[in-house]
Amino acid sequence: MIHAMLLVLLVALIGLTPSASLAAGKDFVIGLSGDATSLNPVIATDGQSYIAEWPLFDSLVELDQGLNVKPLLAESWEVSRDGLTYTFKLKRNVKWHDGKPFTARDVAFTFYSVLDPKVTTPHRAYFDALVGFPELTAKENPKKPEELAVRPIEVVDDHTVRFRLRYPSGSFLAVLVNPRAGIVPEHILKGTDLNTAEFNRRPIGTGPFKLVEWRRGERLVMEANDQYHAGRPALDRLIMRIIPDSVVLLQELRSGGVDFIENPPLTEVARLKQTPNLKVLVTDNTSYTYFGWRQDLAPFTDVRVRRALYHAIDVPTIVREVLQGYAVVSTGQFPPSSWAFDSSVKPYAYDPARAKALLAEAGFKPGADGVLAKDGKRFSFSIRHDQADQSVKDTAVIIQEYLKRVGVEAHLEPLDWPTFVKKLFASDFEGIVVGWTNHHDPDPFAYTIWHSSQWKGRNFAHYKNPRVDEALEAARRTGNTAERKKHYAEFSKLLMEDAPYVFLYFRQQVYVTRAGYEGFIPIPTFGGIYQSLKAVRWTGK
Amino acid sequence: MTAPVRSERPSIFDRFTRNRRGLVGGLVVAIMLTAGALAPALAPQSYSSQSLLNRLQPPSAAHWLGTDGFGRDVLSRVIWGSRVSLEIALFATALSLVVGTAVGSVAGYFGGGVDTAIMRAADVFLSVPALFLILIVVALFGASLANTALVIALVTWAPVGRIVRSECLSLRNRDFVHAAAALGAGHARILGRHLLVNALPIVIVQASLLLGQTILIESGLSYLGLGAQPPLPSWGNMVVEGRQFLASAWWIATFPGLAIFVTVLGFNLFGDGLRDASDPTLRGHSP
Amino acid sequence: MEPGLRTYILKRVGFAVLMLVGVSIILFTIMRLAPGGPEAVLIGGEFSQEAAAQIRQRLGLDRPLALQYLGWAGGALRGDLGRSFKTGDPVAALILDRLGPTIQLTFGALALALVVAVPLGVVAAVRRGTIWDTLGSAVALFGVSFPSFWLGIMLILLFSEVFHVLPPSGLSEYGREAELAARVRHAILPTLTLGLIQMASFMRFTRSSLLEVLRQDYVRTARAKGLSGGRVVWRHALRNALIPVVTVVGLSLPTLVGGAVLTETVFAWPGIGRLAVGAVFERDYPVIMGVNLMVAAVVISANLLTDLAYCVIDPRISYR
Repeated sequence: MIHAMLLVLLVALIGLTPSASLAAGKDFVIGLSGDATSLNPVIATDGQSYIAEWPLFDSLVELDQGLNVKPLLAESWEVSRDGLTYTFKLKRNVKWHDGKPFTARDVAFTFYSVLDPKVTTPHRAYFDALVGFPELTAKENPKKPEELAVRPIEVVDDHTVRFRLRYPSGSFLAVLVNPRAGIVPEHILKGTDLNTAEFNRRPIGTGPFKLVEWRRGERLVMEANDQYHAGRPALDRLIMRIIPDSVVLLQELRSGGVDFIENPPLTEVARLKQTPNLKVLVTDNTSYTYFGWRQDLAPFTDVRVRRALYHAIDVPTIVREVLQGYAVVSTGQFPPSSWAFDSSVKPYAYDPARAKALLAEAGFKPGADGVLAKDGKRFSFSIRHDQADQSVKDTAVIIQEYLKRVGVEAHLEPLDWPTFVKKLFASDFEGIVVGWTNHHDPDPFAYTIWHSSQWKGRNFAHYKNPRVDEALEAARRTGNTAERKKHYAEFSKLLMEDAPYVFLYFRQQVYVTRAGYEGFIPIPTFGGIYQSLKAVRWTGK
Repeated sequence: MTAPVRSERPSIFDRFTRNRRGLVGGLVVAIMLTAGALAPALAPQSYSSQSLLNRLQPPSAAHWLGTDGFGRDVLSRVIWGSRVSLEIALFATALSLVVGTAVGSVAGYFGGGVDTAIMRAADVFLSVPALFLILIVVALFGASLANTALVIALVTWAPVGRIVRSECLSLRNRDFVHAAAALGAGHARILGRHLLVNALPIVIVQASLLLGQTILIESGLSYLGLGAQPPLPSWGNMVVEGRQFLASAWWIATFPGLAIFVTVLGFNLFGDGLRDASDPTLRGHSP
Repeated sequence: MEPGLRTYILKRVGFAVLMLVGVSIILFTIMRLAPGGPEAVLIGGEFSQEAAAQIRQRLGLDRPLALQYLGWAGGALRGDLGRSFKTGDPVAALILDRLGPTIQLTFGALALALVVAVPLGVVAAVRRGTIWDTLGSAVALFGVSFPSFWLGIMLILLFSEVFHVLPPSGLSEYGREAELAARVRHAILPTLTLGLIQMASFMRFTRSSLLEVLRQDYVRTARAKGLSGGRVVWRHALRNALIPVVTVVGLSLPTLVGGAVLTETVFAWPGIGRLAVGAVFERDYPVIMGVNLMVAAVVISANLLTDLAYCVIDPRISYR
C-alpha cells in the first residue's frame, strides 16, 4: 500500500514540469466548443462543420475584407448583358487531395447535388435563381437535369462551366463562396448517397489543408496540402481541439494548450488585450439577435403594442454594459457593414414612458398586480429560447425585466435546441429570443424571413406586408446593385415602421490568438476569419 | 431496537444533544431551512430586479455580497437560492424515502418471491448510471422542479429500499412481531406500527444524507445547463453563471458555492450525529 | 453439477436477460416520448419542414414505435448496435473508441480512492476518538460535501492557471500519445477530481463498517475470558468490514463503466460519459441505447457472476 502511494507520488513528480508547447510555431491549435457533424459542404449545416470545412474545401470564389468576390477556383468569369448567364473559367492544374485533377465536371456535380431533392441540404434555396429550379426540386416527380430543355449548369469543357439563371439575380456570385458552396469531387461521390457517404467522415477536397485524423468529440487534425494551387500554406498542421467548457477553453489558451479561440467571455476581453503574448481580433458579423413574436397573435397584431415593446427595451445599454461594446445596435435585417444598409432607418429609442403611453392608447390598463390588462386579459406571454446559448439566455432575462417595468409580464421558457427549433418552425410560440446567422448578401435571408410566401419556412412569425413583398421581389429580380440597394432601403424603412421584432444587436466576432501568429484576415461574415488560415504564419515572436 | 427502559439508558434525543457534531449540523440545517422558508421576508431585494449600470459591484454597504452580471443583489439571490435548492432537495428526498420505504418494507417483510421480484426490479434502476438517467429525463422533458425531483427520486430510492428491507428482514422474526400476529394484527398493522417505527431512525439518517446529495446533484445538473432555469436562482446555477467572472468578480460564484458546501456539510453532520445517537450499543460520548 | 444448481443458474441468467430487455424498453420509451427529435440537430440553423420530414424518413423514425424497437433489438442481438444518427459511425465502434479513456479515468480514480481510503478508514476506526479519527473524518466529511465539477474547476485553476504545472484538459497532445509522461500529466487532475470525492466517501464507509464489526467482535471477545490475539481479531474484523465496501464499489459500477459525466465535461476527456451526454442533447437514440445497454450489460453480468461465484464457493447457500 505504501508502495502504491510512493509510486503515485513519483509518477506525479515526473510529470510536474511546466507545460511545453507543440512543435513551436508550425502547428496551429484551434479551440472549438463543439464537434463538427459532417465534413461535406453540400449537406453540413452547423457552424462547427463550416469551420472545419473551410480549410479542406475551395469554392469557386472567395471574399475579401470588403465582402467583394475574388477568384479562387474560378480564375475569371463573364456575365452576359442580360445577367442570365455566368461563364466561369476554372484554374488549371488544380488537384484533389488524392491527386486526381479538378475539372468543371466536379462543379456541375456539386451543384446538381445541391439541387437534388434526395439530398438533405439546407443550401438549396440559395440557388433559386437557376433555370429549372422549380422542376428539379419539385417534391412530386422532380425532373433530372438531362430531362430539361435548358440545363442550369453546363460543362463547356474541362475548365469552363456555365450557369444559366431564370432571372438576373444580383446575389448569385455571393452565394458561391464558402462555407456553403465548397466543391466536392465527382469521381468519389458519383453514384453514392451523399447523406450517408463515408466521404463525410473522410473528406477529399481541393483546399489548402488535408484531413489527417478525426477523433470524434476530441479533435480534428489537418496537414498542409503541398500541392495547393495557390501555394503551400505556411502552417504545417491545423489541430482543432474540442473543449466544451468555455472557461476551460480560455484556460487552455492562457496555458498554451491552444493557440486560437473564438468568442471568449466578453468580460475577459479587456484583460486578454493586455496579456502580452495574446492578441485580440474583432470584426463585425452578419448575425443578429432579436426579440420577436407571432405577428398574427393578439395583442401583437396592434402596431402600437409592437412599437411600445420596442420603446421598452434599452438596447444601447445592453450593448454597452452586457456585451461590453462588442456589438452593434441592430436597426433591421442588414448590418452596417452591408452595402444594403440604410443609415436613415432609426430604431425606436428607449423610452419607457412612451411605451406605457402607447400601451394605454392601445387599450391597456394596469391591473391590481401591476400587470397591464385589456378586456379582462392580462398582457402576459411566454418567451421561448434556446437553453444552451448563454448570451441568448442572458438577453432573455434582461428583456423580461425591461418588460416588467412597463407592466408587461413575460415567462421565460428555455427549451433544448431540438424542441425549440421544432416549435419555431411549427409557429408554436408566443414570444421568442433567437438569432439569424444571416448571409453577407441581403437576398437569401431577407426574402425567406420576410416574404409572405414563406410562412412555412423562415417566416414562422407569420409576417405579412404586401409592400414589403413587392420590395423584396423587385430587389431579387435585378442584378444592378444600385437598384437592389434602393429596394432594400424601402424594405428596411417599411420593416421598421411595422416593428415586427425588437431588433437587438449584431454581435461582433471576437477572436483571441497567440501574438506570434500573423496573417489573419477577419472578414465580417460568419466565420470569415477561417478563410485566411492558408495565409497564417508563425513569426516566432 | 426495543423500546429502551427509560431510567437506565439515555434516549436518542439525549444522546443526540450530547453529540457536538450532530448539533452543529442540525444548527446549520435549521438556519438554511429557515432562510429558505422565510426567503420573501428575509431577502433585502427581489432576486430578479436588475440594474445593468450596477453590474459586477464588489460587496458594499448597499449590497452585502455584491452584485452579479445583471446588477442583481447576490445576497438576496443566495437567500432565494436556498429556497429553490432546498425545494428540489426536499421533494426529491421525500419521494425517494416514501417509495424506498414502502418498497423495501414490503420486500423485507414478506420475503421470498415478493422480495426477489422487487429486488430484481430495483436492480434495473441500479444498472443504469444515475446521472445519465437524470439527464435523459431532464434534457428531454424540461428542467422543471417536478421533473428534476421526480427523476432524482427515481435513482436514489433503491439504496433506501435496500436498507429498509434488510432492517425489516431482520426484525420480522422477532418475538414482538409474532406476538402481534398472534393477537390478530394484520400485515399492514405490523408493518406500520412495529417494523417501520423501528426502522425510522435509519430512514431519517438516510434522509439527511440524501438531502445533501440532492443539492450536489442539482448543482451538477446546473453545470450542464439543466438545473433550475433563470431568472430563478439556485445555488447551482449561480455558481455556473458566476464562473466566467471568477477572476474579475469572485463573489458571484464564491458565495453560492460556499452555501452549497456549508449546507451539504450540515446535512452530513446531522446525519452522522443521528446515526451515532441511534446506535444502541455506543457507550460514552462520541467526539 | 447438481440439477438444482443448473436450474438456478439458468433461472438467474434468464432473469438477467429479462432485466436487460426491461432496461432497454424503458429507456426506449422514455426517449421516444420526449418532444423533439434528431432532425433539428442534424439540420441545424437552416431548418425546414421538408428537410425534417426527409430525415425522419431516412432514419426510420416514422415507423411505429414497436417496429423501431424490434428493429433495434434484433440488431443488438446480432451485435449490431446501429449507426449514430449524427455522425453515421457504427455505435459499437464509437463506444469501443471511448472505452479506453473511460476505463483509464474511472479505474484510476477508483484505485487511488481505495488505496488511500481503506487504510485511512481503518486507522480512523481503530483509533476512534483520537485526533487521527477526528482529522480523517473531518477531511472525509469535507470531501463528500463538494460538488465534483467545482472540485475539478478549482484544481484546474490552481494547477494550470496559478501554477503552470499541469495542462487544463484533454487526453494528451497530438503527436505525443505514446509518451507516458504526457499522458500521465493530462490524467492527474481528472483522476484526482474523480478520486478525491470517492476517496472521502469510501473512507467514511470503511470507518463506519469497521466500527460496526469491531463492536461485535469486541463484545464477543470481551465476554470470552481475556482477549484473544489483537491481530487475529483485527484481521478477522477487517475482512468482514470490507465486504460492505465491496458492495459499495459494486454499486458504483455503472458510473465506472458509463463514465463520469461531469469530470469528463470539465476536462474535455473523450470518454463514454461525454459521448452519452452529447447523444442525449442531440437525440442520438442509437448511441444512447447502445451506451446504456453496454453499461447495463456489464453491471448485470457482474452481479450475475458474483452471485454464481457465491453459489459455487459456498455449497451451503440455498438456491431455489
